[in-house]
Amino acid sequence: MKRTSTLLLACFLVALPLVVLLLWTVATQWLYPALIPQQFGGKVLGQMLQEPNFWPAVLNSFVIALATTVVTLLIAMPACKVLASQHFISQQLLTFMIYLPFILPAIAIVTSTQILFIQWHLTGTFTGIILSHTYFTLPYAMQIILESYRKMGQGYALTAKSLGAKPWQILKTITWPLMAPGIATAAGLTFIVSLSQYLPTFFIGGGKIMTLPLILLPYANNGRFNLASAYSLVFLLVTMIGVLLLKQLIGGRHHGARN
Amino acid sequence: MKKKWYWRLAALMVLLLLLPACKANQSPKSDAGSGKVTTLSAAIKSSKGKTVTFYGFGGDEKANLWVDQVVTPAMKKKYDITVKRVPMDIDDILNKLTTEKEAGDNKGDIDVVWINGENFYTAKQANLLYGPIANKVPSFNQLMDVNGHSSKYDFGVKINGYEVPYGNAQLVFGGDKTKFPEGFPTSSAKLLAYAKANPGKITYTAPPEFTGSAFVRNIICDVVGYDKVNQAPATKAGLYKVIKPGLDYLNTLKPYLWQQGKTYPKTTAELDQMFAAGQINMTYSYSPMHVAEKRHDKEFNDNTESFLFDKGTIANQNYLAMAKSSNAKDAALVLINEMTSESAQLKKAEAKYGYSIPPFDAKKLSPKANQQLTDIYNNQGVPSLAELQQKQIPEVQAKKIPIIESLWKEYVLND
Repeated sequence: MKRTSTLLLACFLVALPLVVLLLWTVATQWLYPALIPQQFGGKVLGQMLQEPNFWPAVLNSFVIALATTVVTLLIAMPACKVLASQHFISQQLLTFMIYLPFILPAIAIVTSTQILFIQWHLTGTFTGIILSHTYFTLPYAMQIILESYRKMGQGYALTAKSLGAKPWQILKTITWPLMAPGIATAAGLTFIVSLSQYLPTFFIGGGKIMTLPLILLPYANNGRFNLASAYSLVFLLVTMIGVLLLKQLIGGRHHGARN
Repeated sequence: MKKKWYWRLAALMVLLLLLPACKANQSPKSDAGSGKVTTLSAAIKSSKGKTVTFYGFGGDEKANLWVDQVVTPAMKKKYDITVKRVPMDIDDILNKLTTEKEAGDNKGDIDVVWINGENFYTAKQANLLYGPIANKVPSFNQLMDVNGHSSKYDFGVKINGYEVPYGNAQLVFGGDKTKFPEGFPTSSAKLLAYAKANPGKITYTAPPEFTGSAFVRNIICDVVGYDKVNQAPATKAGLYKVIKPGLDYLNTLKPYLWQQGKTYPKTTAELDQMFAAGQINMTYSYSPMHVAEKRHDKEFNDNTESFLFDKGTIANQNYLAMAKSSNAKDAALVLINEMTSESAQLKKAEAKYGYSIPPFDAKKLSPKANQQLTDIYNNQGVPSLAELQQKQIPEVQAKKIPIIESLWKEYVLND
């Protein structure tokens, strides 16, 4: 009984902001002190779909986030494999180094990156945006995957190796299945973080490549809550599709999740 | 708030470090080559098939719609130029402009910028803009008062042809006339009296919010007198001495504000919502047609009307400028000309696109265009053009605005 009520409360707390977003999206008039909007209509949705950048932004956001996830994993996996088994750098210092991108101010990094990227002709390109996103997503992915490697230890891989397994066999049959839950979490988080990037997309993409946050933020900043809510819902939908897709692809099933 | 400050400071430091390094190897021929514009007809020829970006405030869905539905198709049809509208707050735009300039000329993403006031002052000081361009824009020469004050000065800053007027703005108040039985408060003194009689029914958006900042300046000018503020030195101490009566007024008003002035709305959209909901009795806008627009959208009821201060409200213009680092200056010139053309601007004055008032000189317009513009004022509780023009005070000089904002923060907000 107690468990059910806790669960209900949790559901309520999660659903409440969503309901508000949904109400803002379909409201045409919602004035204080009414609890629910006085008038409903599809005006806001129409306005959103009228935006010529809407569909390109959805597509771009998705593609960039997906590509960022792939690049991030390609860097994080081998790096973490080495880092988890080495003893030169203390693990604490390692954690600090991984978190460095969070400590440095983003605007400083983004503006100086732009200067370099202009010289390398990377501004206004998907490659440039994906690279800059990767910089901000790597810490999350690294931290999770590093922990997965530590938990797994080297024992299984060493045993397989001593039995004559090739490196790719070890990856396919041992490392990947064992680490899948961790990798899936890292991938999901990377996708979410990349999707919500604003500064690097704006500075490196220069507005030539529109993404959802670029359209959403000006509305949210200037008190256009109905349009901002509509975009937030789309944002949420894209996030969910992306994360579920990544989970399916990686195939991470948490141990003991279905018993 | 504090965190943001930190970031900006860090960014500035990085830029300062990079500044001397870049200056050293910059060649003097910065304006030469592909980035130069001579005449509109040459620009039209060389810009076919190009893409041009328009960077500006993106929080006004009607202004956005106008760019998307009127300007963009016209540019494609007439000149085969693709327009990309990039909605962005001006602080971010200035940051990006600075970076792009550091990276070398003619490589930047930003082509046309919607700008005015202290931001123009900042951009001009930092040499971020390309110009002069106004004399190359036929719309400017043919339709606007080229020798008028707002063609020469933007918030007291000499324009020197680096901007082309794009739209008119004047601070206009809006109130529900049933809630002001003794008439609208047309001076700061009357406003204070009304607030005392109706506590909690007035508020304003906190500076540095663009319009809230103008409201505070307008109050100060009404209390102290525009000339005194205009002649005051642009230093914190000097300005404080002059505008102190204005700040005192705001402090006297404070306890009678909504929530006793402990908190302020953040955006004019919030202010409008509070007004529409009857939480407060007065709103304001930089758009003279604001009340008509909101009445048209059924957001304000039909008892809502506009009013001005008898001594005048702050009026300014907003402008289009070209980035020095733009890589498509020819297409940018064509875009600026199209956005300020009679056909596009008359569309912008329609209800659907937010009733924006064109920056045109009535003497240079066709009788038909004039009639169309005059008709806009003849309805829905907005002041007539004559009244608007009669009750106008110019903007305070750009460099004084951040000082006034910080004085407000120090002596009114935190007091």
